[in-house]
Amino acid sequence: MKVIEVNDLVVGFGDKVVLDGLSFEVNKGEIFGLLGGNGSGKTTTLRTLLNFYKPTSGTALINGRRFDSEVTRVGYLPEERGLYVKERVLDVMTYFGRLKGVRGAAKWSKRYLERVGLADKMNERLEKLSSGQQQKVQLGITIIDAPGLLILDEPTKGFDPVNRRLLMDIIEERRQAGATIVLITHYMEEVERLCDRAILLKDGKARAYGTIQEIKKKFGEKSLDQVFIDIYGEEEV
Amino acid sequence: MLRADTSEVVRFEIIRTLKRVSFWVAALLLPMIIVGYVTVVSMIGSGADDALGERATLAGMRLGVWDEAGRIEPELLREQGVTVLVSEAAGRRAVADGVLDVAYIIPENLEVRIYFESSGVDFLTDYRARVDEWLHASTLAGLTPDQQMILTQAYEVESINLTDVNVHRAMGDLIAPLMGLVVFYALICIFGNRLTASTIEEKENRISEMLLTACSARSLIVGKMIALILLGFLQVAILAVPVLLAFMLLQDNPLEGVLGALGGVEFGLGTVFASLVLLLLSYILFTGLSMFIGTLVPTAKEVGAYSGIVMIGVILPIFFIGEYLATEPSALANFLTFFPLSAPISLFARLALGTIPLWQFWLATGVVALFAVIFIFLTIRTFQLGLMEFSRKLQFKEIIGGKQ
Repeated sequence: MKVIEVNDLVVGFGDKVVLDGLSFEVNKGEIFGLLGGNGSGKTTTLRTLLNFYKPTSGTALINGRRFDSEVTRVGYLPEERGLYVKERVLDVMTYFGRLKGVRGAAKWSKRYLERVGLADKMNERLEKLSSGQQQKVQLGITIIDAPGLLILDEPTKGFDPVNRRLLMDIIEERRQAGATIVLITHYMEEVERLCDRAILLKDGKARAYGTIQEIKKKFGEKSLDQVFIDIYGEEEV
Repeated sequence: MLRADTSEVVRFEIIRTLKRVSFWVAALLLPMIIVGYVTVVSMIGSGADDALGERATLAGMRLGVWDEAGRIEPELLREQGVTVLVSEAAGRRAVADGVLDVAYIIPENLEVRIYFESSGVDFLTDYRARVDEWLHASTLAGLTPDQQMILTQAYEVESINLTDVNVHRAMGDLIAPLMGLVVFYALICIFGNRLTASTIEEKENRISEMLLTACSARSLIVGKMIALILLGFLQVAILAVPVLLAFMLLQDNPLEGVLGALGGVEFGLGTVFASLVLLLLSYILFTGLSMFIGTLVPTAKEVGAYSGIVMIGVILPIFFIGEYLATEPSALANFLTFFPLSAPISLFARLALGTIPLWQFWLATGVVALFAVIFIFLTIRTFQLGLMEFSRKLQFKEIIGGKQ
């Protein structure tokens, strides 16, 4: 069953074409890697899927329709991250939880904060937390309603190895629970370890697409890191 | 019935605002200043009034009078303990020597002179009043009762208005819209910046993306708007309650007479209803417009220029208030009445002055409602379009055309 369907998607801003005929699918229950260099169109793809940008042509559908927050629940951890920094951690998590229709959002948030080592910060203002701690709060907000589709845009950016491990555990848990996960990351070892399939973008076009094994096979059984370098050229990376 | 996510936005926005010290400082500052001012004025006033009152009536002062023509009734002077002088020179000398405080010289030709020694606050002392009183009372004493009634205007006059206007009702029709105008003006002054900032925060702090996967832009904007309107009414209550309490609790307060006069005022339900509807719609219009400005610009710093233009538009009618006085208002008055920005104050003023036909009032109020809806719609649209514009201002053609 397809959770995401992108068909011949073109997205432009004025004269600039950012996505140029992009097509891919994400199946239910898989972890899908959306890969590419800076400015390749990864974030634009996600934003178009989430209806923040309009397609110039083509389609970008979630569960067979354009995304509508009133109909489809998606856990989205964006690249541009921010929260109500003047508010208390628990209040903000509870607010987002309630917005997503979670009953007992405060209770869930407390349990989550205990798990990620922020129990003593729940009554602090967010601005008092380090960026890594804020990122954990954002991740909690992303998964608070146990969404069937998780979209994570560089979730490990700024995390130390311990917290990266914690995040990987959470992603694995969500996969075990049957969630579909779309992951943007620059860490190819994470992709090899976690992802079932992936797409590699350059200049808004797909340069490689398929299971991780298929991509590696296509490029002579090289590691994903090497595949990435081959596509972008060593000097660009 | 509100959608669940809209209710959550309302709840969150109200609670977090009420938790802020800055809200309470802003909310209570004005009422506290008013209460403090009334208290101080009333305390100082009661002491000063006694002193000034005594000084103004010349009570306790030693007075003398030289009445060359004998116009003043001697009995009157005796009752008041006024010394009868034999000449102007004697009076002048008595004041200079400190025997008298004031000497009144009333010559045959009525070119009255008053001698006194200045104590520095004599500008508050009405020396002339006493001589007026003496001459008036003495002249009246020599007249017939009818002549006295005519000169003292003691006769009764009954005014009968054949149009049968209820005076108390007419006052109510004046007061209700004026109160609406004052409340509207106070709200936009106190809440102007907060309204504009309410949609910038999500953009400045990069919250929008996460937020709009949890709720729709419409729920967010409508929720924020409802919260701001409720907070506005809370502000009105905060402003009104302590002020009314202060005036009611303080004795001899300056409003006592006004409150007494208001006791008989009848508020016509129609005017009160019209004023309340206009107040609500005007505040929604201003809220929508302010939030729209907030969605247009990427940061709070760039709001100032737009807000200034809006405020000028809103208060423009105040500069042309004379235009509304005529039963047939000028073209300018009519333009300002139907121009969305200036309509609220124009309508309150014309409703109070009774210079607007009912159909025109409701038509112009309809314009206010229409533009309130338009600005809410534009705010939602611009918020969605400007979601990813963290440093660029949206262009008008983008809003209309929906281009990205």
